[in-house]
Amino acid sequence: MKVSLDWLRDFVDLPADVTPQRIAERLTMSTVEVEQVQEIGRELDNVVVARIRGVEPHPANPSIAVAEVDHGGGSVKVVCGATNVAAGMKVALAREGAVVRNAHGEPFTVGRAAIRGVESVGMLCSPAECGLNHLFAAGEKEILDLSALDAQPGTALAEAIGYDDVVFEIDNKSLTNRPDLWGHHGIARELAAMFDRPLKDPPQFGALPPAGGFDVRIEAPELCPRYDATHIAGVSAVPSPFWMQARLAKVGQRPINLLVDLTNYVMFAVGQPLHAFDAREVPSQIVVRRARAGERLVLLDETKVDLDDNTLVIANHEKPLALAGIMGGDLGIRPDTTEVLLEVANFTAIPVRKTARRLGLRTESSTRYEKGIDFDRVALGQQMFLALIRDAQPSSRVVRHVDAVAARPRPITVDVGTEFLQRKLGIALPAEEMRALLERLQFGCTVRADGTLHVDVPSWRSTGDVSLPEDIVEEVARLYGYDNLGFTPPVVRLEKPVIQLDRRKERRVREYFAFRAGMREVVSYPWVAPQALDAAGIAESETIGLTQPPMTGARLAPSLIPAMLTNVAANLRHVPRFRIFEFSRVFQPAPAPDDGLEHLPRQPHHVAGAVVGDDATTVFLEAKGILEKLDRTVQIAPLSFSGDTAVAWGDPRARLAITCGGQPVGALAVASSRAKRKTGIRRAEVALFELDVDALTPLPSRDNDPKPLPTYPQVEYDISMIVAHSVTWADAQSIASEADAMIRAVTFVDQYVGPPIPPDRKSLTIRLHLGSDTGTLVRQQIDEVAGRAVAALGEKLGAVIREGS
Amino acid sequence: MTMNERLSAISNEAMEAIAGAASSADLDRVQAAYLGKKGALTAVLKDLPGLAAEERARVGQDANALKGQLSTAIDERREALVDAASSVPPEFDITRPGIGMHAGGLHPIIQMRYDLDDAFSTLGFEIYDGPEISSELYDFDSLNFPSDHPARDSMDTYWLEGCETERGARRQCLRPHLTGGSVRYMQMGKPPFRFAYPGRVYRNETTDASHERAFFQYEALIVDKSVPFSAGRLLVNTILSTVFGRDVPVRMRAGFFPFVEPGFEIDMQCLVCEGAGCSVCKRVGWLEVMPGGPPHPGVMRAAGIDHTQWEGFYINIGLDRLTMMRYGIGDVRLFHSGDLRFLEQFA
Repeated sequence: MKVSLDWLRDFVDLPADVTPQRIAERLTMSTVEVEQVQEIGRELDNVVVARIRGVEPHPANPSIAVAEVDHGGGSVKVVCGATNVAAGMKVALAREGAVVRNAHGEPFTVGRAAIRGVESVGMLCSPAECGLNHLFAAGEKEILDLSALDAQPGTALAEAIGYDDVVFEIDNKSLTNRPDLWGHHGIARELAAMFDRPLKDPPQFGALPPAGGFDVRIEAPELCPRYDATHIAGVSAVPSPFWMQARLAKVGQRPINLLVDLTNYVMFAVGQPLHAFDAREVPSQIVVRRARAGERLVLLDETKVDLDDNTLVIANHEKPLALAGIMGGDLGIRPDTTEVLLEVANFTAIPVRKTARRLGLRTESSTRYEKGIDFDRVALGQQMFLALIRDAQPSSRVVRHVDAVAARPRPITVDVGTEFLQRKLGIALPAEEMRALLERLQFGCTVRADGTLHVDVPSWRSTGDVSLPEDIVEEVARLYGYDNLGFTPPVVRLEKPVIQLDRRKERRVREYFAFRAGMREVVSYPWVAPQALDAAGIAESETIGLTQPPMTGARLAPSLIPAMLTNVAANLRHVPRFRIFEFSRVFQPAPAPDDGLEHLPRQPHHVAGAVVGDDATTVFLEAKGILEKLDRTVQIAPLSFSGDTAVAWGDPRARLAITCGGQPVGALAVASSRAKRKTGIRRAEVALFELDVDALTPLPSRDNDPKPLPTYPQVEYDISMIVAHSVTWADAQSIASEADAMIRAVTFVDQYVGPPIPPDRKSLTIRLHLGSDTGTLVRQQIDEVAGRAVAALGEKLGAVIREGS
Repeated sequence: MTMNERLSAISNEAMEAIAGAASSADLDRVQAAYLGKKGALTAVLKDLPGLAAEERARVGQDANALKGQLSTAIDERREALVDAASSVPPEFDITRPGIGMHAGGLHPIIQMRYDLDDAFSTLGFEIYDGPEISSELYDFDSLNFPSDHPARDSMDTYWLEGCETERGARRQCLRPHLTGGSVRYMQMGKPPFRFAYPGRVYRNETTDASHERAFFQYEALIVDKSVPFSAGRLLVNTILSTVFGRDVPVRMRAGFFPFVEPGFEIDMQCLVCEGAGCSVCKRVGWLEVMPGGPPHPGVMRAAGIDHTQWEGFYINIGLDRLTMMRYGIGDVRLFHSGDLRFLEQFA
């Protein structure tokens, strides 16, 4: 919303030393956000009113003119191609250094220029070139004609048209809850309070004649509490006084004619929308009613709307004439209008908003009504309109008047304790000072003996804005100045430490993968494309949809694997080998039975990772190595790899289920050839894993189980054996471990295929860790124990020993 | 030359040669030249029998002492050379890069979040984590949003398929903000409360360099017997000083949000111009960074708290934008890109 400083001064005398910047700052801090302070006169610097003394045709091109122009301090010659250049005309002369706009609206600086051999000192401007096409009409090749102005040549154009002004651009979002501020009078009220100056009221008209048989019937009182109709005769749709046109143009409203302009002018002044009907359309009666199904209305802007009974209309005795609070019909003020019926009404906010949205019509009127305008403002707007038209058209007279009231709102009062106010403010502001602040905002306030402030909320703050003690706190605090409240450290009781096992677990999981396992954390969207779901083998029935997905077919995924595959494929374009992980909630349809208040979907935290490399065995074993250390490092109940799992995205062989305390919690697998093909992963092998973090049980404190250090040194003994491909390390380990009590541990050393090992065999090297509690082992003991292991491996696995050490 | 002079000359020469030896082989040569079978000192000893008894005893003593002295010096020099030797071969290049390890790391926003978690933990705050699919009941009704508030439209919020005709608890959405979750938190316990609530939220928006459909927020809320507005600055300052590493001037001004009463817009001084006004802050000197204020009585009621007995202060800040400001990142979409060329720049 644009607000003119000149217009504000109609309602409040601000101290002379208050700059526009200071006004903007105070409004921003205490009331609404001022986005821009525009000194509009500065945009017309070096543009002056001038008079054309004489016109001669250009010697080289008779279709353009060379005008001799009096600019007050002498005269200059200016070349001009406009069609309306004439001697005696008052024009806008852009002198050297003025910034005007070209045909595309882009600014350029006026200088001296020779135009086909004739020097032109400055430029005669069209309305568009001065940025004034809102205010002045002109033909296509015409310059601005200022002949109607009183201003003498040499007067700055800005001053001559009342543009030596400052326009504040206020963020409309910050005004949504303040219906009182949608006009200059409301903003002036805030400034009057801030600078402690009196607020001046809009002009009053006085007493009005009776209804004289005219009838206003409100058939939908729930949508229209009040409808004030005034029949005014002796008017005409002439142009408005120039000052009024200039003010409307400054706030972005194009002037039309006096009768229409006045309704807009009063709306921008006090925030109350008004509507003027040609009185011939409403000879006897106004009916405020819901539209009937099948009724249609052609609006002012010629759009046709089909009405229904959710739509409030203003009708005459037979048909709708206007959409209540939004827009009038096409039979509005016309050139031959001599009598008007002025509507100043109070419409209920929410239905106006709903209708405006349904019909896609947002107007200055609906924007104001949908914020909730107070009941009393009807009279304010109506009186101001009548006072202004009396001045503008002395022939006008009010012939009849009806103020129909369907429902009168109850005044709002709030009782609030001094102690409550002081506690919230954090300072001991005396009750009398708080009363004074409220009175500056025109709240009624009395301080009772018990310290209670009894506050009468003014009508313009009573439409939902102020009703609670907290609202009164806000009024006092914002006027006192939030920044003047300082800082009050909160005082808290220390009762117990904050221990949150799940938060700790989640953070340790993330930090384990990032800092121990050297993986980079990625974050992806929770919705994934259907192709990615398909690649991961996830059916649509396992997913959740959105009414308006961000891309066609995208669904919320029950797993992080689809996004992980997509991420791997995307990064492979730039980085050949990498490790990534993601930690996020996933979304799974709510389990039956339907119970609880909300019945929300399951949304467990998952962590997924990818190790990307050249060789499938290597990436699988790297990923497995990462997962093997997870439980101890993160301090959760032990994880184990529990055999096969048929994950849809996994390799048919290189895949493992992961369990925690016997419960399945996830899987590790090499990405299947299909998954890779579907996501476009080529020339790389990928090991993927995913765990349900919520299913990992955090330990209540650190759990370690240190053993006494061995009294006697341990001995290592390596065994290399040739076995069939089907023999596993796990078998060898378990057989060797059980061969003798002195075998304290068996660890993996190496596996090898290739010459000289026969093609259907592999060489497996394991290491025995031997020890005794009773003495240092001697060679003979070592050979005996190792021999038992070798014998058992040979017997049970058909192992042939290559060498021992 | 007297025998004395010979010994003295041998001593000087030999000690010089030992000191000048650069290797074990040099020392071997020195040893042979003086102490070996044909060595200079050995020659002196061989000449002893031709001397008078008295002189023979004296010179013999001196020569043997010198022999011991030189042996010791050679041994010490040999040990010193061994100690000073380098273990690396001659082609060793000190400028080569170190052998890399797998350099993983957290996402830049998660790093920021954990830094904030740590800061709030020092103030005794709990860290809350609420559901990301929530309902109209919590995310709108409980927060005092009017029933026809535009944010309830599907234009702004991602509503779930299948609940188009539902209302309230049964109308489900991806949470558009964290504040509804704060009501859940408060419903689970009894005041006083001190908690921070980090998380990702979702809005149905057209994306560009400064708009995302999924982004992170950080919320903090304190509820206690007495929480003046001016206490709220603690929450604001905790966030900004953690992120920017120093105290940042802050101002609190009037703002409107349905869930706080009164509402504040909280601005931080522009770090680029330090308040003087520049293009980053649109010449204002301040940047709007977060809303805040005491929870509205309606919100307190929804949370099951008697608002006449308890007071609170709430703030909520967008972590994406804060992280962008901290590092000078120009495009918010990079955070969800998964692009390692971007992510690997953060440690």
